[in-house]
Amino acid sequence: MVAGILTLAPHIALAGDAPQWMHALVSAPLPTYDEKTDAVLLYSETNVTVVSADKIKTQVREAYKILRPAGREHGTVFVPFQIPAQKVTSLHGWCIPAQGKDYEVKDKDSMEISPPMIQGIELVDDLKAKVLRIPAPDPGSIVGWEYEIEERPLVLQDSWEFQGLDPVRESHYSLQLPSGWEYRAAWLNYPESKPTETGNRQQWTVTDVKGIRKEPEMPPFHGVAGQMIVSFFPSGGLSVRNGFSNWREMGSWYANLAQGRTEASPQIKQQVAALTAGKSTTLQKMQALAEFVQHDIRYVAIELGIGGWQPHPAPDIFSHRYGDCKDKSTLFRSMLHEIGVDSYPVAINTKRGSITMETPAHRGFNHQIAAIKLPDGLSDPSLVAILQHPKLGRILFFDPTDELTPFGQVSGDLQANYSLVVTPEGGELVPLPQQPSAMNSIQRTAKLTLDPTGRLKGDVKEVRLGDRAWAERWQQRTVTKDSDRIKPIETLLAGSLSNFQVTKATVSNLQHADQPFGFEYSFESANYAKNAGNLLLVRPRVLGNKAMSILETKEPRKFPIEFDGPARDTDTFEITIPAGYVVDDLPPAVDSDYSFASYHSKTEVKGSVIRYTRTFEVKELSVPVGRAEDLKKFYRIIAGDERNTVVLKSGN
Amino acid sequence: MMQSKKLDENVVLVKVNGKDMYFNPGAAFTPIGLLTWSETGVSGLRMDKDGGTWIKTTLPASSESQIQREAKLKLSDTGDLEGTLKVTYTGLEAMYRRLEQRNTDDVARKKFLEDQLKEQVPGAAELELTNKPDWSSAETPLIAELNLKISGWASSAGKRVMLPVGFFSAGERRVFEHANRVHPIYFEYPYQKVDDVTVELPQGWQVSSTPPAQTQDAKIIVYNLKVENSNGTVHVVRKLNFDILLLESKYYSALRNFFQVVRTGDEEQMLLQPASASASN
Repeated sequence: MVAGILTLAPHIALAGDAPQWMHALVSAPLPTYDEKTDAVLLYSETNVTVVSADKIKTQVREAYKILRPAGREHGTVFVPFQIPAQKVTSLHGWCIPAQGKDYEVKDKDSMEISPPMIQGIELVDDLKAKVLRIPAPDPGSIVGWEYEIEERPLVLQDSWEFQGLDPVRESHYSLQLPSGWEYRAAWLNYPESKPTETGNRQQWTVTDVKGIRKEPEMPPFHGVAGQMIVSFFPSGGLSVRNGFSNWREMGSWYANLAQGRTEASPQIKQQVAALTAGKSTTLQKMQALAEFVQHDIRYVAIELGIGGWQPHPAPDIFSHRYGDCKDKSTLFRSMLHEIGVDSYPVAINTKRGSITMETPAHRGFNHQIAAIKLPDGLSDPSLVAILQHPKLGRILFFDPTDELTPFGQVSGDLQANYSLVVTPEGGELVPLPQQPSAMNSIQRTAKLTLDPTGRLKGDVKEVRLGDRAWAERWQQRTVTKDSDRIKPIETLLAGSLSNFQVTKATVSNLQHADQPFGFEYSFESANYAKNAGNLLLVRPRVLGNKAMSILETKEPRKFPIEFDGPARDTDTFEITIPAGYVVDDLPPAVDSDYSFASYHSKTEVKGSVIRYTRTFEVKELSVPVGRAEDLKKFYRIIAGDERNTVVLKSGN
Repeated sequence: MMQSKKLDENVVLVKVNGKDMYFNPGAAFTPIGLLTWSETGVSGLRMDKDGGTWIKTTLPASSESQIQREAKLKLSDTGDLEGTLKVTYTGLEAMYRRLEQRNTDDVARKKFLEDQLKEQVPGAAELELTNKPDWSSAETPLIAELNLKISGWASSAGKRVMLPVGFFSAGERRVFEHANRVHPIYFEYPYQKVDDVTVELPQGWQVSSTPPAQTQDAKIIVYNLKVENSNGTVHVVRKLNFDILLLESKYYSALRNFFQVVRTGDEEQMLLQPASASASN
């Protein structure tokens, strides 16, 4: 184990010089790294001192050795903080260049900014950042900084995220609590390390931590990076006000925050009555309320302080006609209550894998939806996102923010994803159901005719369901000109045809998310089939690409491959061949079946018609790294099938 | 109305043996006689004691900025292609790559070249740079030598095998896919792509047919594709010349049609008979 180089004593270096703790790193051995590593984190130290339930001080020291030009980004220190709960009380930075004198920059050299939208959805928030540029962050230099933050904590919990993109030589985290306080530490994605104790300060250390190199379609970063979540409690037990150490307690913490927020105003009651008037069944009433909250409450996120977690009162959301996800969920639940239906708030992270059964309780969610306790006897084929819960009974998940996914279903990113269902008894981590793959699909059929010159023309019909429909509706939501509505069709055709003209196109059910989305179009493509002497070469897979090349890399795969959601797409292409031609050669059928996905294709001849059919299905949402080669082979089989050719021979 | 801020660069006009030549001393890696793309073929004000006169900067020919790709490949009987690739970038093609990578290192430059070329192959390609390109010169071509493998390039049709001839055609695959265009089309500078690919077929394989030669000459844009077969070796030469800078949107339809012809040519395939099929036929 590498011991901490120095504790956070006042630095005694000469003005302008880097402090001693940084100079001690100049000759320190580097952690394991390869030629693609941009920088290594030589030293990291985070010291958290809990003064009281209302005051925490955090001191941070970090130093990187820059190895490659891309590592220069470490010369910019970015210290985020939230006003007024947090305050950056000091900030210093230094550079020890490979040659020459040290550089020093101080708090006065920094600038304070309001970062651009963190998640891209906030209209107003209270996040700020101090930005400090350190001179000469060139390869060979060591850059380092110290800062201190004082805060009034919203929650008595901290996370030590010691694994990042760069390898780490040593990283330390310490926690000092007031007398009588207790803590619980939980490790994630990394072997647990026991703390050493000095007085009432606990210190944890990790050394030689590998950097995480990003891969396409990998699990979310927080689902794979090593981190420690530490919760702490005042003497006498857990403070319900702002502390928790398990999911049940976190649920209680949230329930406490949201208490009373679903109480309906007279205006809400009136609106519910109006929306449900004439609806004879509970399902029809729920659907009417769902549509109102999805479509008539505009998404606007104003997140200040605890407002990032605490919803606004339902009457405010209703009267303003806007709110964020938790606001929409709150209003929807308020309205449901008025028709006698119970429901629960559900916190979830839209990146599946961020939260798993192994994840310790923490605020790792970025979205809120609702769980509806279905009344006894209520059953309908449209209600799919149902979980049979041992205590709550049948609960239906619904996302009031997602205006393009119909009531009864949830989008692919939420399926098989762990969520925190909050009930009066506390919180419980439960997985959302995975919907049948056929509910997210493209069913494409085409009737086409080939002429002797190789020109292909005909009609195509597409029926899109689930996320496949969602994507088209989302793309078209801001389109105002009819001529632009066919651009997705042109893009689709361009992916498979070297030349084409769309001669007719219509879109159906664009505004009706509860109905399948449809495309119907006609096209022609000159020289689709290639002449070769008395032969005509025809690719029977006319449209659509299922093969992917994400695994065609030299480096071995390190992380699982994640699919967006279950899916099942089918293609049926019928091509009438020119008179005088007969089929001379057909490509073989393809049957590739893995537990995670399957692909079946067949090319047949019936009279003068070539009939190509295929089915592509995603069955499991994550492919473990040990099966990456299977997936690579699977995609190569598909690529081969997509290029296969039928040979026609002229009888003349 | 005259707006001086629209003249946002300074170049130097030099009379060389009576000929006007333009230089930008601030533009690194720019070969003599060329300007960086944003200064190429544009109007400028030549300053003199009388106030100045309007001039137009040099518009170089496409042949001065080339991407030459020369591949020597072998086809396996499982349909994979493997061999060597030499890519030569000249003129502004070399200049912009050198400029873009001037603050990186050899590892990043290697990845840059490999990734760029991988994107040009419409298939599952693996590339490995084997030489050390000259990143510092302005006058010499930028030359990259690589090992290339393309898995599953040839496809089957019963007893026959199809060999596509558009080896480096992915760059032209998705351009101008929509039928309508609102704005003019701006090409950064005239340039050429020249591909010269030889493929050695497996022992005993026969070529049943080769695609016909393609020529599409739109004067300012020209496409040629020629496929030859000789003693078990296939030779494909593909040329694409862009002697164009700005095209009004009213010509978009013609431009789109041109690229449709290019793609159709690139999709041509050679028909091969594997050894066992040849023997049985």
